[in-house]
Amino acid sequence: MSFTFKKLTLNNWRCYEGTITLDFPEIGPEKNLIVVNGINGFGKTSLLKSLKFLFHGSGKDEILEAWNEASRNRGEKNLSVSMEFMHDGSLCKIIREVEFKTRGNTALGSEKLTLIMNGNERDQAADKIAQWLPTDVQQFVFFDGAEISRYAKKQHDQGVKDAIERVLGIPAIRNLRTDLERFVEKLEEEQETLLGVGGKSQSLREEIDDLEALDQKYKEDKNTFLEQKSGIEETLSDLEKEATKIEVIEVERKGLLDKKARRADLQTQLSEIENQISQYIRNAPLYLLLPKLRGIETKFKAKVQIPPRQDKWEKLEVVLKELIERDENCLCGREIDDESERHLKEELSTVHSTLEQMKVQSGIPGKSEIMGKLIAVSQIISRFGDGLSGGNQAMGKRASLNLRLDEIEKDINDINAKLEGHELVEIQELFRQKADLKSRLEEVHEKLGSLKENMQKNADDLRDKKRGLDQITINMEQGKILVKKLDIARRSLAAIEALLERAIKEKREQIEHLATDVFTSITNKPDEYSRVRVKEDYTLDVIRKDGTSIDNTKLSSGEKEVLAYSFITALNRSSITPVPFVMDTPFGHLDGIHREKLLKNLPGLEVQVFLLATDRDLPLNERDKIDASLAGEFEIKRDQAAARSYIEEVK
Amino acid sequence: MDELIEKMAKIQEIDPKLLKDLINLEQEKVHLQKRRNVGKEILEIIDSYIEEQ
Repeated sequence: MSFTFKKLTLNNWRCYEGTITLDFPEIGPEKNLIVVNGINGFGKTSLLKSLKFLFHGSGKDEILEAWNEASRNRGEKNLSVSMEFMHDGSLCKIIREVEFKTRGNTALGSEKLTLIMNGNERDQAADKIAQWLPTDVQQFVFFDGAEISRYAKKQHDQGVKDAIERVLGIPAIRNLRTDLERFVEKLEEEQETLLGVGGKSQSLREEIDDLEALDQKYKEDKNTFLEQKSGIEETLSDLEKEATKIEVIEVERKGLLDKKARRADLQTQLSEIENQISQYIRNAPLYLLLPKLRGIETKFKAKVQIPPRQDKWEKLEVVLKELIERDENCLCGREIDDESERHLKEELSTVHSTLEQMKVQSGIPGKSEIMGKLIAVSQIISRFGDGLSGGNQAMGKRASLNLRLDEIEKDINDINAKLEGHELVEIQELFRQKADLKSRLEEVHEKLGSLKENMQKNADDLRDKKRGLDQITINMEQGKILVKKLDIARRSLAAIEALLERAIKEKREQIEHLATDVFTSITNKPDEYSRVRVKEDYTLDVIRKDGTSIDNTKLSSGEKEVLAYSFITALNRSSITPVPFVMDTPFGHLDGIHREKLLKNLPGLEVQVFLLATDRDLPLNERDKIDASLAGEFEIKRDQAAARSYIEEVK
Repeated sequence: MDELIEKMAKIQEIDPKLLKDLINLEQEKVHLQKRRNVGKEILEIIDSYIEEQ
């Protein structure tokens, strides 16, 4: 690890009154984690801010805000942050101090930055530090864990994109290309001066001018085509996502047709059952009265042993009549129709006459005769019972059919809601647009291919002509060395141009590969997600196993954090200058499983990792999971009476 | 990156060290708002490369 923090000293910094020193323990492979525990409000973020201030300074207002209040009140007029660290084998120390001058109620701080390397103070400290840790790269190494999900956004602003390329070392190569172009131009101007006007070289130079003009035009065309390509690809990507949704919707649409067919089938069955039920109601309406009749039968059986009283019988008859004659009598929502009522009255009349006979005979008990009457009553009841049983089954079936129809109706409504706004015509239009864009993309690819050939041919011609010019120059005094320089500069430029193109591609692929490794090892959906795609503008896509991509806005907050974390760690590992990683409250939205997997991943970072954590980030019962990678631990404490925070090493 | 540099240098038949020196030069200046004297320093590197050859 070429960059490791050794000792941080804070003086009158924010909530840390006086001098606070943190001696960081040695770290080693797989043991790179340093935890600073602290509950909310005790000073974790102040610690993070001290690092940002140390490396890149602060604005005037921020410096005033950082000046510890108690020391200020005591009349102390300075604050400072310093760090000792190892960088590429050198022991370095950065000290950033502020001297305050007060006038009345206002104060103004003047900042001083010192860099000491191996015991010697270095000039141009700010430049050197910016070289180790560029300002815009800071956001990827010292950060609030809860905010990293912004790297899972659909778009990056130019600042973020530039910072990412800075981490990867791309701007230096880009600058070199520009500088070599200028350098070659300058040498060619010298060559032109040396060759003078006219002569054999004149026509060659004119041809070169024409070829260069053509090359310039080709370059402009190439940029135009690349812009078109990028625009088409972007639109196509949006359409692909829309098409994926539509494909799902199309499946739903087919499902809708199936459900509608099923509904029609169930409705037919329901209609049949309704008819059966009507039949039952017409044929056996009395089963509504079955409980009452059973009561009569029970009581009648009792009367066989105990002589009945006239008034009881009359009461039972009244009940039966009322049940029949009351208008509100109904069965499952159906009023008893005339035919049913007539049938009911007939049956009742049978019961009535049977009961009357039994009343007459009750004075002269003839047991067998009474039993015969009882059997007659029981048969009537039994007939009603049969009606009841068949009717019950039919009604049970009807209820079940209604339930299934309700469910299907709900499904149909849900699908209809999903299909809303996706009329078939629109879908066809979308697929037409997609096909159109694909064909336009192919055209642009063809144009680019043919342009590439033309450019190559032009470049070959240009090179030959320039060689011809060089041959003329080489025979002149002073010409030999100039041609040699030109040759090397042109070759270097050609190598750098190719390197730039390849480096951007390879770095992006490297980040993609590393981010995929981290993401798939942390995500809770390893069977669903296959990889992370890093697009040309460094925005991210999660790709499912079926090859479709997920709209990042659809990811949960925790998933976005995991995605962004995967990207940032991949960036750190692809960086040309790896820097210690400092995360404040890193696991804000993560569940226990994500947190555990992420903790397991931290040792793989191969840099010092600082976790500024609350007990929610690292719960007590999960501490054992970081034991193997824990190099050291600190705790931020607070003297609340004195309103000051301090830090102790946890032994 | 080193591998890539070596590959590109080989294609152009130049020493990879020359490319690395040029890239390092830019790397040291990339954070500066004004990159002064780059052309002069490129010339120095190329001159010293020619001398070594």
